[in-house]
Amino acid sequence: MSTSLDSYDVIVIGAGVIGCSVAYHLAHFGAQRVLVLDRTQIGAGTTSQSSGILRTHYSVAENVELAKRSWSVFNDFANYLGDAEASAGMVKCGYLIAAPDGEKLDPLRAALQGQRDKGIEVRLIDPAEARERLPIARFDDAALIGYEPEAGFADAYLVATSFARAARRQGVKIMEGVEVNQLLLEGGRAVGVDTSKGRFMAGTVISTQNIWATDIERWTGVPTPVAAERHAVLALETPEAPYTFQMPVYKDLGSTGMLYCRSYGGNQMLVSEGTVGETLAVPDNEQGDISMDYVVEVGAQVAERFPAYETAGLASSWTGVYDVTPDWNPVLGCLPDVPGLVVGYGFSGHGFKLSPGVGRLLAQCALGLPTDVPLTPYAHERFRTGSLLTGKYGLGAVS
Amino acid sequence: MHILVPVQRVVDHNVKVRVKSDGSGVDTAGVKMSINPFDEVAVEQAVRLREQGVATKVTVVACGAAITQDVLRTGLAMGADAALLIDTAGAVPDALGLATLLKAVVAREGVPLVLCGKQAIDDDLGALGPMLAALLDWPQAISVNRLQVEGGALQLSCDADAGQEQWQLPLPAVLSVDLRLCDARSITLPNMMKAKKAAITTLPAAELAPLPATTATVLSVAEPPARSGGVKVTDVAALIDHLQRLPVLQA
Repeated sequence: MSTSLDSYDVIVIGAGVIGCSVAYHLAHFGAQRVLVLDRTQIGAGTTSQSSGILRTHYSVAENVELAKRSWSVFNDFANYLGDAEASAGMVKCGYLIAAPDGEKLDPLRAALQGQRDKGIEVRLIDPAEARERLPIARFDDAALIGYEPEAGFADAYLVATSFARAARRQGVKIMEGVEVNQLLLEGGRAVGVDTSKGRFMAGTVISTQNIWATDIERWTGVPTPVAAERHAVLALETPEAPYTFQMPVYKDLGSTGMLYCRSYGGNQMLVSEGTVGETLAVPDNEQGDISMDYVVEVGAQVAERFPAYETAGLASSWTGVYDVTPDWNPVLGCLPDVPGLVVGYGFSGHGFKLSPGVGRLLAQCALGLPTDVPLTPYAHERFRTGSLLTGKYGLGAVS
Repeated sequence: MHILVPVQRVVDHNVKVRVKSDGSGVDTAGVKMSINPFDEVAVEQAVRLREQGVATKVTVVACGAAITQDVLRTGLAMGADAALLIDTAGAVPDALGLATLLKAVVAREGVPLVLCGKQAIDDDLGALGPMLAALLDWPQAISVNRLQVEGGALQLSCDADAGQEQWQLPLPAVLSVDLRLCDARSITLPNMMKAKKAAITTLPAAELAPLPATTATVLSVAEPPARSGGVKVTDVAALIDHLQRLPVLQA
């Protein structure tokens, strides 16, 4: 039995940082009755495992644009949400990226120029200045170093809950602990969802389910090219060379694992590889094992760049999971085969930094409003036509 | 003084524990496992005592399949000098069985002090330390949160029913330690590399002691029942009516 209470304008499946951003923007653009459903709790999925890096550096121009728009939201978060207490937990320490002579040099040069073409402040700096900004690292082998001051890192979970709170203040209903069993279709059109807490009907359904977006294929038969890939993150500490909040996020294109590093807790180094991880058979963001062999291997890469970290201690470690697509970029927008269904999945480890912009786009798409930027490059179609958004650095999350 | 530290391999404390669908136990397949946090504290304390010159050697010992070596290597990377793996050929001893095997290891190694975590986070039984002390007929302290070794005697603080108690124990002794005793060090990368290469001695259980028969059988394991939702009432009268019908208020 369905009553008018179970009927909404839009239903959002998944209350991670993307889903919460979508929900907020739906209300912001005037949607009246919005329902968000999550299997567990707001931000408790892969959002909670994000390393939180914010930068506009990308080798794919469309991503630069989205990241730039998203950055301006992070940079003025409380005002944007109209909530003086909202915070993204941002540390604006800048982003440093370097490559030695080799195959990453040309793509780096081109990407830096691409950022400049979009009006982003990015400077080419010499090893001496790089060492001033990041004294614990060595740059004697760097052939090109880029630095963007309007960058850093923030707290994805805090951002998700901030978007959720702002959404709720505008009348959005968010239900936690609700498992969506089925997408309800009538004549091939999405009309609602069947869940562990009953049926909810809606004119439009938006799926922001991250690694659980494989449900879409089960519900609709539409191929959903997303796989769960687990990555390990290490927190290293050495009292002689703390990684402070003043030091920039650093992307080392010269290391075999294309490491990214940032300050963690004000003196530890958070470091992870930016290459392909371990593909999981089923979507699962539970903690995975991190072997001592792996830690030693990444530790050796870190020590190459940060000599004092050769004797660093492993303060903690954890795993996060990416929803990876064949070109390491998200699938956004409508699914032509399923009217009434809008999707946003496959952020492949770089979704948080795009979450404000993506939330706006998916909300606009769902409400039939013009989108800030064309969605076509991110369309599901691209896997059929072959116009993939593959990044120039090789497979990995710089994209 | 040679210190023995028994360590256990448990589901990592950050992982959400799930029960196997057949109810036979907790699902550990593909699940992240780590050293029992209480045992990690015991290893740290033992290594500190060696660094202070009070102890001369620290040996970590575990019981289980070959995979258990990973927690022994954690102990070695923290600074333990030697590691023993008791191989029970697939049998999973209960607490008494484990204590029986460890009693034999104590005799074999000639150790005067055993430091172990006061409980393992899988069953929270806290039985190993007390059972081992009983089998050895040694003095023991449980939930030790402060420890000093002075002139061959142990000065310690431990939890008791009425609060903290200050005890002095002679050696030999068994101490079951609490998390408050000390903070385990972060393992350094060089020590990890050394631990990877270090030799671990495997001891067949049969060479140590015959295992007593297990006295308890696990019938089934299940998650606690899900909490049912609360009830909303419309006004005070409805609330009073609801309360009056609660089983606890029936005559």
